[in-house]
Amino acid sequence: MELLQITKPSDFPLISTKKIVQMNNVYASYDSKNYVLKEITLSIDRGTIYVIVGQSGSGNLLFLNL
Amino acid sequence: MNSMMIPSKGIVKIDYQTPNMNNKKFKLMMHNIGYIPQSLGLIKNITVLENTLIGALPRLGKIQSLFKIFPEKEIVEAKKILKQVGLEGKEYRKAYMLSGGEKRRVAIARAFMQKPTLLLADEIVSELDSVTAREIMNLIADAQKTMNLTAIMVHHDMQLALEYANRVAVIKEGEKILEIGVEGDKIVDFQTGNLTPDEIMEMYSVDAKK
Repeated sequence: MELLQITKPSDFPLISTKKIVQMNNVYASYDSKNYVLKEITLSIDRGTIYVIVGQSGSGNLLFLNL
Repeated sequence: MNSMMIPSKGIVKIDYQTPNMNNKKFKLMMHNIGYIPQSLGLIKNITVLENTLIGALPRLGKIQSLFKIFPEKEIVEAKKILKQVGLEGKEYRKAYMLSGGEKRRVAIARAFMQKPTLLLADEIVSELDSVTAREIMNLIADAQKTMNLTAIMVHHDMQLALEYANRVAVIKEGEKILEIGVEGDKIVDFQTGNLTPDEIMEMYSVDAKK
């Protein structure tokens, strides 16, 4: 019931009505050469606690800053 | 997710909108995203109450926010939130007098003052002892239930993450190597679907020993 009609195939393949953050194949870098984040695909539901675990320097902060 | 950086490739959507600061609707939505940096960003020489009221600034008019004139109802609200985070009676202390746990409570109160739908927190409990860390995490877990808050947090402690999170993503060298869902004692692998709970527990205990 929560699935909506997909209009653009380039967008997210599945869209439920309660996602608050979606990322699809995201790459990010500070210096536009070395990617700090690679191939991040995720979706975060509304009303949940989502924790990112990683060592310092693994791109956690950049992740929040996107 | 606070749109300070732009991804090099790929799509990021927040509430189905692409981050764009020129878009008024998006800008308004950003007012409801609370962000707690690792440094907390408290102003040391003003009181706990004043620090909390900063969270109300986006709601005020230009002149009010420039001179920091807060309406009575915002002050009442701030006191209510300070009570909620366990800082009742400490409203008029200067921020530099507080302990590490109390400072975090103020930062959370300031974020709650924004009436956030989304809360971003970077290593908020990393410098605390485990009891205080759990108290702080309980505040966020309570807000999740009462305010329907979505919290995205960065931790390095897998144990704590598993206790409180609905979902845990593990990032290593910029790649998401694992994403698990937690429901009570059940752990579900969302990344590959191949890992058994035992393997996940094994991975996390190695992580915790480091």
